[in-house]
This record gives sequence, C-alpha cells and structure tokens, in this order.
Amino acid sequence: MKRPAIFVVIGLVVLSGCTAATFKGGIEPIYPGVRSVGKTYETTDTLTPTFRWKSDKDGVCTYDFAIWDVGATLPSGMSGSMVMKGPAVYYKEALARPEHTIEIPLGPDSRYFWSARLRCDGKVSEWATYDYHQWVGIAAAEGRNWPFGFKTPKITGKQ
Amino acid sequence: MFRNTSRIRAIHRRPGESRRVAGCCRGPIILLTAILALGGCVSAPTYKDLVPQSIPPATSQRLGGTVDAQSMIIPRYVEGGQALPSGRLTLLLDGFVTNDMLKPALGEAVTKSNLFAGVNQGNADYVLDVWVEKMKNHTPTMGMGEYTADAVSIWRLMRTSDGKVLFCDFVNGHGLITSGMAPLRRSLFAALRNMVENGIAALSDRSTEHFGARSTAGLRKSMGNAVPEGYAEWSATVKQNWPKLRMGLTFTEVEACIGPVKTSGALVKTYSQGYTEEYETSLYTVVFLNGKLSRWEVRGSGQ
Repeated sequence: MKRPAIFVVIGLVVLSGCTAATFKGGIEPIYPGVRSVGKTYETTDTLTPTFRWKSDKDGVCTYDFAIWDVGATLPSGMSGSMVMKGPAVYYKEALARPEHTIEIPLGPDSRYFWSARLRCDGKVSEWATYDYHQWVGIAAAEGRNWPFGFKTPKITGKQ
Repeated sequence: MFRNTSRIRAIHRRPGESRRVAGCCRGPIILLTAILALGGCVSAPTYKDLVPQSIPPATSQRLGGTVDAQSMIIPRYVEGGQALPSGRLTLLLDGFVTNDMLKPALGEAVTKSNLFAGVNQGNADYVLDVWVEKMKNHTPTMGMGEYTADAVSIWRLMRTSDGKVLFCDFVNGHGLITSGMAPLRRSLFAALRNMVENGIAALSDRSTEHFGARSTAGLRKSMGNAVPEGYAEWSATVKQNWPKLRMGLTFTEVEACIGPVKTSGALVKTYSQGYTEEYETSLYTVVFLNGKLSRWEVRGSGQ
C-alpha cells in the first residue's frame, strides 16, 4: 500500500533540481540561459553582454531583439503571481545573426527580461518565451509565457 | 504578462480525503456563503459615485459655448497598494474604477456647474481634456483605521476653432474613509470625486491664470476634435530631426536634436526606475539607459 507513495517520493527526489523548459516562438536562448534551480535570473558576466540564441530559421530569417525592465508582480489566483514586463529599454531590428552585443551598458545589479523574434519576409513572429516546470523536493513550480530573465553583475566600472 | 504558479503538491493523498475535508468544513462554508451573500448587498459602484454633490453653479463666469468633456485614466496601478502582514500588494486600478465611470461623471459635473451652455460629444466649441496622472492610496496595516487616497490630474480647456489653450493646470483630489464596507475603493472614489469638484472650481476661477501644467500637457494630443496651437510646429521639428538620433546620445544631445523632452508639453507618460528613464508623447517614445539613449520610436501620425 505504501509502495506507490515511496516510489513517488523517490521519483520526486530524483527530479529535484530539474527544470523542464518548453520554448515558444521558434527561438531558444543560449546565453544568458533560462532559469535553473536557485537562480531565477542568470547573472551575466558584464554590463554589455553578448546575447546568443538558436533557431532553425537561421539564414532564412532575421531577428529582432529587445530588453525590458522587470515590471510589477501582481497576485494571480490562490498561490500564483504574474510578473509584468516593464518598458522596452533596448531594441534592435533585423539582425542577420542570432546574437547581439549590447551597444551601451546596462544598469549594474539590475534585473531585465530579454527576447528575440523572427522577422521573415517582413512578418514578425511573437516574442519568444518559454514555459517551465521545476521540482524542488516535494514542491513544484511552474511558469507560462516567460521571456528570458537575466541579472547584471554588481560592478560600476567601465565595461 | 507571465504567470508563475508555485505550489506544494500533496503526495500522500488518501482516497476520500477530500470528501472528509469537505464534510468537516461544512459549517465554515455556510458561514462563508452567508458572508458572500451579504457582500452582494453592498451596491455596485456607478459613475454617480464620482459626481460631486456640491458644485457651485457658475453664473457670471459662463463661457458661452458647448464643451466636449473627455477623460483618461493613465496609470495602471494604484501607488501604495494594499498593506498586508506579508508585504505590500500591488493593485490594478481598473479593478476599482475605470474611465467608463469617470467620463460620464465629469460630463454630469460640468453640466451641473453651468460653466458652459451645454456638454456635447464631438462637435463642441471647447474641448476639456482631463488626464488622471497618478492615483495613490494608503491603507492601514491591519485594515483598521484611515484609508486615504490621492488623485493627481491635469485639466486642459481648449477652444476648438483655433486650438488656443485657455486653461492647463494640475488638479488634485483627496479622499478619506474611516469606516464602512470597501473602504479602499471608496477612498479612491472619494479622491476622484474631490478632484472633479476641485477641477470645476478651478475652471470657474478667473482671478488668476491657470497654466501650471502647460509645459507638461499644453501640446498633448487631445481626446476631442481639437489640435492644440503649436502642435504642428513641434511635430514638424521632431520629425525633421528624428533621423539624427543615435544610440548612446545623452539627454542633452537628444534635446538638442528634437527640442525639449521633459518640458515639451506633449508628454503623456514618464517612467523612471533604476537606471531606466522613459518619456512617451503621442508622437514618440525615447528611453535612456544609464543616461544614454537606448531606444527611440516615432509614430507615423501623432495627431
């Protein structure tokens, strides 16, 4: 009788720390990557990071790239929350390659979202997002339609 | 907007557990139902709740023409939010009040004031634009005590024929609720009602000029059928010099290209947080990151 429960516990312990992400919009981030356990926002190594992503449409389409401030967090449902995107602080259009180095420094020790979208024959796709499921012990967290979060390092010197 | 749901999932749920829980909770559920039913007894708010009760009718100060009274609530959030023991909760303003309530209330208040010959949508002699710029509230930590709210708005009166701005000033409103149901919502309503009352009073006041908000909203796109004088020149200057903007320009350099930004009179929204500053007009948006221009966007037709 207790055996199934034990298997479930063992399964969850094995899964603990795992994150399953489903990417939407035909783009998958390489750097900065998506969240892993204990890191809601990956920290970049510089204030002018080079963002990289991959897509099977490379060479066929160009890319638009944008960075947003992280906006307000609103309550949603019984135990969830919604994170709003703040204003777009940086935007580049029709990039030929799936990477871009920021031309001006971002603010230090700050959280941002970034994303890219496909621009094919003058039509643009939705900004890429991802859904995630994360297991930590017997707890599970999930998120839907997240852009890719990152955090800048605590440095104020010239980059 | 992205949804993030975190929850603890029960692993050892036994068959029938949920039924037993429901059975033992029947009393509280009945109580909860009764409370919800009583909650329904609180009348739903209408635009009438935003019409001030006391508007002194203007007799000698009448402008002699019809007016198109328009309004817009700009902020999405209530500054301050709801104080909970676990922290402060951000509140969406349209969960409490919308422009669909404010606009008819404004129209009714203007009619009651007798300042104009009549209130007329569309083709009127004057356009009154009212922008609610900010809504703030304060809630007592444990929910007991004074609920206060403040509204900050800009009122602009324009002559339709030539776009001459006759009045452009900040108008504030304050609300205080100490008891009763839904005190937070009622405090926000009280603040808006007081704002409408103060706005009408200011429009009636001819003892002094009211141009305190001209550098903020004197050139803003009107919500009615009028174009403020000077808008065409400003728009032409911006469009002509827009191609000169480059990534990394300082604020001063941007203003040297397209003219004043903060004091253009056309600002609709500003955002300043952390290292980001955003300025939005009906014609363009410029964003500065760390004091350097990082995004700029012009719209095809600003008016």
